[in-house]
Amino acid sequence: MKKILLTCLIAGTAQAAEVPIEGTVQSRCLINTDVAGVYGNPNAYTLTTTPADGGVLPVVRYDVSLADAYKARITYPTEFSTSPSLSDMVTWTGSVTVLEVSDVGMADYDTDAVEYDQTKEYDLTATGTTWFKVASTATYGGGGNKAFPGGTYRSVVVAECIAQ
Amino acid sequence: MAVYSAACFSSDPIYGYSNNAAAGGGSWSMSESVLGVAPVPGLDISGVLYRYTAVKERPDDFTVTIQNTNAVDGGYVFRETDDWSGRTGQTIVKQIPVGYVPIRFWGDGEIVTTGVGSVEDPAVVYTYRYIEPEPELPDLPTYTYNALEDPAVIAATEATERPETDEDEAKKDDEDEEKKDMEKALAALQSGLEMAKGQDGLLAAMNPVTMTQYYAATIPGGAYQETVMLDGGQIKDNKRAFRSMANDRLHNQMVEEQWR
Repeated sequence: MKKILLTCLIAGTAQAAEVPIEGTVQSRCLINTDVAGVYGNPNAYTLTTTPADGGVLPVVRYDVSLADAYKARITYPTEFSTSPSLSDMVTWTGSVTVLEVSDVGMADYDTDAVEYDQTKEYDLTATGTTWFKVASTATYGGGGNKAFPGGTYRSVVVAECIAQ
Repeated sequence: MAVYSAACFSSDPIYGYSNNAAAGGGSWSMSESVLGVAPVPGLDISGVLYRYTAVKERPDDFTVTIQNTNAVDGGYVFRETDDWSGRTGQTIVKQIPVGYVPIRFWGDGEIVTTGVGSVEDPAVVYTYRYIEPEPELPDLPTYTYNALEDPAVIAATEATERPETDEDEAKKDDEDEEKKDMEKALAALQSGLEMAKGQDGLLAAMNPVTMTQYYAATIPGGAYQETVMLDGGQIKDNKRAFRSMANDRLHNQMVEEQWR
């Protein structure tokens, strides 16, 4: 009996093996900044990316190689990431819109998009490239038209690609 | 064997892109002013990149086609249609690879629309590759050389016979002698190898026997008892040794004196 038990134990140990399985998932949605935005300063209390006011609209590009698999979520800024000390309130406005598409199937992205707070969400239903432009305007003084203190101002647009 | 005359020719390809073909309107020819380079042999179109804004109401039917006629075979060498029917007008950017199609196939290009709508700010750009074509060489006669028909080769390879001379006989004797020497050397080598094999066998057979004999040997008597006895019970000092030690000490002192 002892002998049989030992034999079983040896056989059990010899058959045990850990077989690793590895896999790599490559994203089918890539985000790239095509144009970095610039704030123009048309008056003392306004910073805006509007080209007519000396600003540059940031452009973000989504490259999608799998249709109906991702959502583009883009949020325009509501605060400065870098600025001088501000004692008064800043009022933020902005927008996100499709600038260009690489496929006719993307033509209705703007129409079908869902907008909430400062965020716009797009269903990426076609493969190809979509360019989004983001507008951002900051007004200082809470409607009192107070001049921005001198210095450098930076803000951030958040662009995400979320699997559906 | 055939002998050909051929020139070695190589040229690095030049890549580039054309001007906006649609800058002057909805149709254009593939001329030097459009392409930016002369439409010569060696120029191949590798892709078409276009961009325009479709202006229309969403419910309307509207299609936009960018195309180039095929100047050689008829029909179209390139044709891409965007159907905007039921869709919102938008700015579209497309890049379409076409392989490397020689410029001679590329006829006039145009933007054609159907339905209700318009195209704004169109841009059509062709990407190209240019490889300088190989210069045409005149046809040279080929000459085929057959060695088996060459009279000189035939004469040189013909069998010849001549009477044996004393030198030939002496040479033959030398060759026979060399052959015998070689046979002797081979026989000696073979014998040496056989002997080596025999010696190995003998050593292998002898060693265990010899060692066993040593291990098995017994000393007669069983034990050797101490036989040295001290005569008289006293040991006298060795005066000669004392003198020698005194001399050694003096010698050492003298040597050390030299280094002080």
